[in-house]
Amino acid sequence: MAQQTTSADVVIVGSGVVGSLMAEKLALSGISVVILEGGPRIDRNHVVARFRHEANKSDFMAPYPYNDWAPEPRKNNDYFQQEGPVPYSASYIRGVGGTTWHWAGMAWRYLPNDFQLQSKYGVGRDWPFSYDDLEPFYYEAEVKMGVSGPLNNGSPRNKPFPMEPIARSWAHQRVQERLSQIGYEVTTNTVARNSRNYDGRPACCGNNNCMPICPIDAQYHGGISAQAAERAGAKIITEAVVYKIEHGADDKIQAVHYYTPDKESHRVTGKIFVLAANAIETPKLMLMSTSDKFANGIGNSNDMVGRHLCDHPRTKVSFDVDEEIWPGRGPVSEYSIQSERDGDWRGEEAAFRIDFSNSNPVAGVTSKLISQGVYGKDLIAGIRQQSSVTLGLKNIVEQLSDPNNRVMLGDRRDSLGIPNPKFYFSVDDYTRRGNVRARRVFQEIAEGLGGTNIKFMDENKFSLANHITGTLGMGNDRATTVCNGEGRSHDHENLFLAGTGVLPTVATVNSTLTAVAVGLRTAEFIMEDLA
Amino acid sequence: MNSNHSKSGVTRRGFLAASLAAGSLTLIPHALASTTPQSVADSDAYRAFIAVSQQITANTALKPAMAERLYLALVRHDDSFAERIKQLDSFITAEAIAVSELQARVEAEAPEVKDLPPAIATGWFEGLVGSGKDVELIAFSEALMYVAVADVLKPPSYSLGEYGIWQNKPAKA
Repeated sequence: MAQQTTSADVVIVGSGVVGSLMAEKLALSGISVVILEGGPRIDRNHVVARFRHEANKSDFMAPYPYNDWAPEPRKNNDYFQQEGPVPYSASYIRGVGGTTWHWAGMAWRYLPNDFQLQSKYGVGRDWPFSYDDLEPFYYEAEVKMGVSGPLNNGSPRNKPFPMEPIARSWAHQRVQERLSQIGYEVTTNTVARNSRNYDGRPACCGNNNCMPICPIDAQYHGGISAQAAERAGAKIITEAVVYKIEHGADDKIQAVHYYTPDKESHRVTGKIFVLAANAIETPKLMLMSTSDKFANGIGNSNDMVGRHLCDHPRTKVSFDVDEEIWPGRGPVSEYSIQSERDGDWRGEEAAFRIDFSNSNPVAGVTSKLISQGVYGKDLIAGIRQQSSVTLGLKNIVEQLSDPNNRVMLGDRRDSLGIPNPKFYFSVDDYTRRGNVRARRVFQEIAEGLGGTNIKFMDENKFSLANHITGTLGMGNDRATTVCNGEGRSHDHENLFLAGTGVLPTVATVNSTLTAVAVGLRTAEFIMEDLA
Repeated sequence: MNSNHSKSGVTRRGFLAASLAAGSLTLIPHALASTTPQSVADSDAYRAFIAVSQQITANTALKPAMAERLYLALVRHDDSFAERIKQLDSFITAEAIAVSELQARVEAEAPEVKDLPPAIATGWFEGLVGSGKDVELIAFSEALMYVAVADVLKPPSYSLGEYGIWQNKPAKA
């Protein structure tokens, strides 16, 4: 039944920013590359039009097409099954370019200490390599993605940013000036967003719609990576849902099998295989791919695939500033506070970074006023007044890896008969203590800005950040990790893992840039194998 | 006049189109105030809707196309809308209710129409009709909440201007 359709030196599952940029790098070195993508192609202008016509504008997935053969978590769908005390929520896009179609472009590096959490503070896990080892690949990723940022962000660098930091909005300027008076340094964010024309894409022009879609590609996304991969010679097969990984007697991977939407099966052979299909979908695929020898799934002889799931279980605050700052002008994520990302206390409580929202607040403000029965001139005046002073903050808080927090196979199945993912997820006291400290910092910041109407999020609720890490963790200890520092599976020498899942710690920043840097580093080991 | 037009190259078709456009422009306030669009079955209900809308929006020059779209959506989502909007309008007129006390008075004295003022306000200001999974968008960039702040902010996805324009202190700040 299965028919052999394709073969390449390197077969990559997943066309997101990591898989595509690895594909580009490999293809440019003369290696033949095929990318298998479960979803369809995504057209930016289509998504912009759908966003403008969509009623629920706060649902960042709504403008993207949904495909039942490549399902993804959506508001009100039951794709994720839950077992743990804290429901695990995430959103990701199964389509060419992947989830960075909607992100705020945050492209932070980790701090050097984020790589040695265990040896430095006695908690969490150490990485199998150091910040210095990754530094050149961070830079390579920043050049590819077009990253702008300020020098004072805590992560040492050998070369300047490809671009100057984005111009600061009036709100950013006022908050920065006032918080400096109470000892908090506010920093312009490090982002994959153009502060000038760069790589054929324009400078930001303040559409304030980085999520769910930048209408002009001033913000980098995986669709651009996929185009780069194809220009370099990689072949992308879309609507190809990989459902099985096949190994030989020598344990090497021989092929992957995919379904088309009408469940026609195809087999793709190669010399090297890379799984870069998202930190939930990749472990799901590995767990599904069982054999007599690997009864718990490919790469899973030690039962570690899908475990150590980490995210950022954030807490939030909002309040009214005592002056008109008018958030909503410029990009949506513009500035932050770095001082809580590392410190002596890190053995006891979680580190975090504080993000200030610069999203247009008008819709939320209007909805609230109408629900209070405010109409006419008072409503118009209220929309203006409240939109000009409202400010929201959240903390990107660290979570320690816990083997019990994990992705598993659920018992529900999609239209192709593939299991849905199931989760056990909890938030420990280390992270909760970090959130307690965050609320104290929030209070100080609010007071420093003359804040009134201060509203904290319920301390037993968490706003997860879609920074899905740990499930394919890399490390030197073969008993507790899924791959080594090269990204190579402990069980299969020609299988490499890539994407945010391989990051063994979640740290205090968005995971994309680090995942790309690690993927570009992994690509060099693949090139050595094939040389 | 004809010779002037032929000299400037205006065709008969162009002249007619220009005349029609000019004519319809002058007709807009009149059309909105007293003329029911052909798509609307109940002209009394439509007049009541316009009267209540003018109060809730503090605007007597509401756009006719959006008014029609909103009215039809409200009727589509609520079979009783046409009857109840007349009731709400009569209540407001008879009691000479100021918009500042509208919601409290309706809830106390006419609870059967208490959902209409927020529904109409949500339509004009947020461009939305209905709730939950049935919510429908009837306007985005024309929604009055964005008109209210148009000198400072643009609706999300529309450009504020050239790179860095957001550095400036907003005029009203």
